[in-house]
Amino acid sequence: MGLSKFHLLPTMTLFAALFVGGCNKTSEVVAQQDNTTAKDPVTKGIDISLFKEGAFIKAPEIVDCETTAGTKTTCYKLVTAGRPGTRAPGPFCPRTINDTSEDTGAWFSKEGSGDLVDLTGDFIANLSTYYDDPNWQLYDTDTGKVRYTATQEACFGAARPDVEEQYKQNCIECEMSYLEEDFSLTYLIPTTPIPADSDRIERVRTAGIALDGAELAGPAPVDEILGSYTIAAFDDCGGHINAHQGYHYHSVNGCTNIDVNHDGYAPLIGYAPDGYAIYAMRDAQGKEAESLDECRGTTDPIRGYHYRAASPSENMIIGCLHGETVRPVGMEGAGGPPPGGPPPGGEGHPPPRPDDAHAH
Amino acid sequence: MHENRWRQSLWSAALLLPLLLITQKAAAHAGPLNKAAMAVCKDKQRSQACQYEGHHNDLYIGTCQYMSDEDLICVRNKPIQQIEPDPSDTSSSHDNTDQGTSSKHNEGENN
Repeated sequence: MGLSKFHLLPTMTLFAALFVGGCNKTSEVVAQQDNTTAKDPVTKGIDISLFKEGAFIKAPEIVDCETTAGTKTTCYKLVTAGRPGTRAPGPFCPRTINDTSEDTGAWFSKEGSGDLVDLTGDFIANLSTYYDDPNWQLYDTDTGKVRYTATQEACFGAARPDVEEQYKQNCIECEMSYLEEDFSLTYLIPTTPIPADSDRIERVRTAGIALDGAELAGPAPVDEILGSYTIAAFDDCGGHINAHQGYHYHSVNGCTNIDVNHDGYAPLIGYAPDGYAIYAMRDAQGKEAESLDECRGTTDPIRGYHYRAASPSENMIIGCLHGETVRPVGMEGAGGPPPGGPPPGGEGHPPPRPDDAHAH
Repeated sequence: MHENRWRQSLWSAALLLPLLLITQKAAAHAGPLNKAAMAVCKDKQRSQACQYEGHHNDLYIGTCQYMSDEDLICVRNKPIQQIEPDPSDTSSSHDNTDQGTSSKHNEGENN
């Protein structure tokens, strides 16, 4: 549930990726590029025209900005509503242990690779077997109803690394309506990607922005989620909602694909915070790239440098950031709100079964 | 009498040892997502090569990268390799398909 970002910010307007002060020169974008700082003549950076309708709530602008490495450049300023512009998120948790995959979402496979698994009622009923841990109990054994976070309070109490005690043993889901009416996310991404020096390769706090305007998030804190006996349910597109990121993807499942070059290459899914494109894991023949760099990037004569996403259950979209990014105001490093930490008490202590919890 | 007891003990040990090894191996495979990928990078530096074995005799090869400010994780940068199954390893039956789960397929990924 994007639980790595649990610090409450004073406003629901988040500077999700790369917001910086001192950006005083702006101009509206007409899919233009600034190649003056490019070290890679092929890589073109973001093509605004490829974003889907409804991805932004304000017209994208180009503003002056400075990267964490001190490079003065220009950035796209992209403002989103923190939701996919093309569809309504969900469904997420099953309501009963009889619900089938048509009515429910998905979750990471425990193997940590391959496709997501269907979050069916049967899956919820068999969590003890699946995780080889008898303490799992996300449903009422008398009624078969699944315990899930059905209110805003429950969502905000559960969709964080330090899951509140009363929300353990829950399937976690949130609704967009729980967010403030003026909720927005602002991204500042270099108009022309700038390769970072090898000693300044940054980790992925956020993997970027999908073509539908939703965030491509960094890894979910799966150990904390499972350690609290919760499932932070995804919809079939591999995303879910929290108070700080809105709807965001932890997994790439083909919901934001665009076939850009019609050459059999993997489809484009979005852009990283450094401005490099992210393509899907498999190409039209179903093949993965044979050799990627440490960030899961590669270079070819058509696309220049770009990333290839990991598999849906790998809990990462890309491995690190090849290019320079812009520091968010008041935050260390690049890519978004501060990372979360382990829940109080650490891992490995099975929580007591909440007696007062009830199925919704 | 003494010899019989010795034989019984020997048989018990012979039976228990493989069971113990199987149990340990199964437990090592039973951890939640990411633990194996993090464990192999525990004593490494960023960018160092890493590899780990997943379920179904999958081999993941990559480099260690920061997933948080402190923790490194093995980021796969090659297609998943299949390794020859160890005939003595019965834990390969530790399989989610045994437990009635089904996968979401990425129908749209190649579009």
